[in-house]
Amino acid sequence: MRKILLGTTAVVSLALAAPAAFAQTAAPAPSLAGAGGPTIRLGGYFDFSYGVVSDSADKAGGTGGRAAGSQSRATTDFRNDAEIFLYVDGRAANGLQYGAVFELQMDNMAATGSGQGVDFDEMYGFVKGAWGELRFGAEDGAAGLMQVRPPTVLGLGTSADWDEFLPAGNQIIASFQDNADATKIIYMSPQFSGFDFGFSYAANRFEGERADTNTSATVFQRDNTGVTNELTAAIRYRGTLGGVGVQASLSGMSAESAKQSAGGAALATRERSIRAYHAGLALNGLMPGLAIGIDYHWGNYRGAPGTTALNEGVDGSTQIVLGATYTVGALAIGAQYGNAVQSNGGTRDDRTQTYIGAGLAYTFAPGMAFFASYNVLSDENVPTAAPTNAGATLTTYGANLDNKRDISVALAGVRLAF
Amino acid sequence: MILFQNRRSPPLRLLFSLPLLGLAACSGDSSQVREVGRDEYNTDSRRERLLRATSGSGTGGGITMMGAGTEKGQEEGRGSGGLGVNAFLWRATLDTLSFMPLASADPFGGVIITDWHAPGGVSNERFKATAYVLGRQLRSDGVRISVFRQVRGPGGWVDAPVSAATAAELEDKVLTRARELRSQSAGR
Repeated sequence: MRKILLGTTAVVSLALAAPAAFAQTAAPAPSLAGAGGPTIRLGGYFDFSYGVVSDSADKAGGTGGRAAGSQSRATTDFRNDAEIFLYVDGRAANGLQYGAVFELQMDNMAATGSGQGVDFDEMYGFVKGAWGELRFGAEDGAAGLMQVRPPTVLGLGTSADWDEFLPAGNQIIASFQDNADATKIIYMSPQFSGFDFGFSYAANRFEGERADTNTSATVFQRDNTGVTNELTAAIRYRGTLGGVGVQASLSGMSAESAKQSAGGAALATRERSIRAYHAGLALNGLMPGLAIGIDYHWGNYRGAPGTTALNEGVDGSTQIVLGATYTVGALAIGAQYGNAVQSNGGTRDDRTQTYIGAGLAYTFAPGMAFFASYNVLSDENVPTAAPTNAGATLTTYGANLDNKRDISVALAGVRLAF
Repeated sequence: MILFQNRRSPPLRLLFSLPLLGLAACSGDSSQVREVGRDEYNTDSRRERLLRATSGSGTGGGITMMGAGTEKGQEEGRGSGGLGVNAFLWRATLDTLSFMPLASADPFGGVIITDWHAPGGVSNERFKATAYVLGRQLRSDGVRISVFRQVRGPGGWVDAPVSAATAAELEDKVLTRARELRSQSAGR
C-alpha cells in the first residue's frame, strides 16, 4: 500500500509542478483557439413611437420662407428607428485589449426615399490597457464622452427622441457630443481615485477622404471649408460622498473657424474661433430613487454648443439645463428644464430658447421599455442667417408673424434593445 | 497651427492643464487606479441608454457571432473558438496533464487521453490518465479524471490499484488552474 501511495504521490507532484513549466511552451491547438481571437457580438435596438406635434411654424402665414397658400404639416405620425451594432473585442497575449465598434443607423435620416437608409453613426477602433484607452475613428469627442449631464428618462430631454418629429436644426439646447462624430483620435485615462480625464483631436468635421478634389481649379479640398483643429478635453470625478453618489465634470473644446467658403473661395473675413466650455454636476441617493443634476455651457459658439463659429462682434452664448428623475421599481419619471441665450448682434434682442419636458419610462423586461413624454419648446428671436455685429434679421412665425415659435410634442413609444 | 490664439478665452488653457494636474495628484496611489468600462462614458446611443436603464450595462449583451461569447460568457469560458466544452477547464486540464505524453485530445467531446508515462527514476511503474471535461459551465464538478497504473511483473506490465485520492488531487489541480486562467482573462 505504501508503494502505491508513493507512486501516485509522485504523479500528483509532477502535475503540481507542470503548469508553470508548461506555460513556456506551446499548448495544443484547441487550447489556444479557446483562449485567443476576437469575439464578435451583434447588438442593436428597435424603436417605435407616436408623436403629436403642435408647431407655430406650421400655422397659416408660416415662416419667412414658406410659400403662400401652402398646407400645414400633419400633426401626428408614427416613427421607426433602429440601429445595428457590431462589437469586436479581443485581447492580445500581452494583455492589450483591442477591437472595433460599428454602429449602423436607420433613423429616418432623410426626407427623400424610404427614410430607412443606412449609414454609420459611430465607427471606431480602440486599444486599451492599464495606461488608458485610445480610440480612433468616427466617435464623439472626449468632452462629449465624459461630460456629466442632468439625469433623464427615455424619450425625455433637451435633445431626445421627441425632436425627431421636428425639422432638423431647430434646437440649440444640446451637448458637445451632438455634433462631433468626425474622424478623430481620442485618449481617455484610467480612473485615479475617482478622477479620469481625456483628450481628443479632429483635423476637421468630416470623414477623411470623402471629397478630395485637389485636381479642381475651383473646388478646393473641403478641409478648410468647415472648422478645423477641433480639440477637446475633459476631467471627470465619480464617487460617493457621505452616502450620496456624485458625478462632476469640467470640459471644453477649441476649433478654428473656416478659411474658405463651401465653394472653395478664400473668406475675406473669418469668423471667430470656437471656444466652448461645460461644467456638470449630478447627484443621486439624496433620497431613495432620486437623482438630480445641472449643467452649464458657455463660450464663443452659435447653435448647439461648439457647433458653429460666431462672426466678429457677436457676443458669446450660454446654456443651462436642470434635470431630475425618480425611480420606483420598474417605473421612472423625470423632468428637465433648459434655457439657452445667444446673441443676435447689434441691438437686436438675444435669441432665447426654453425647453420644459416631463416623462416616464416603464421597464417591461431587461432591454425593453415603454416611454412617454410631453415636451414644450419656445424659441424667440431666431435669426434668418448667422448674426453679424450689425444685427440679425429675425424669423417670423404664425398668423401674427411674430418672432416667437412655440412647439409642443407629445410622444409615446416602445424600444427593444438586445 | 495655433490652437490657443484667442486671448478672450484664457480658461481653455487652464482647462487643458487640469487633467495633467489631476494625474499628478493621483498617480501616487496605484491601488485606486482602475480601467474605465466602455459603458461608463456618456452616450447618445439609444441602445445603450435603454440597456443601462433596464439592465445596468449598455455595452454587454448582444448575440455572439464568433469567439468566446458575451462578456459574462467570456469570463466563464463558454463555447469558445469551436470548443464544445468550457475553455478554461479544457486549457487547465491540458496544462495539468502536460507532464505526461498526450495520446489524443477531443475538444468537442472534452476527452483527453494520455499515453503511458513512467515518473523519472522509476522503471517498474507507469501511469496513464483519461480526463473528461463535462460541459460548458465552469463548475467544480465539470472535470472528471481517471488514473491508471501498471507495474512491471515477471510476465510484463500488469494493472495495479491507484489511490482514489490521486484522481481527486489532479481534479483539484485542474480547477485551481482554471480559476487562474479565468482571473487572467477577467475584463475582456
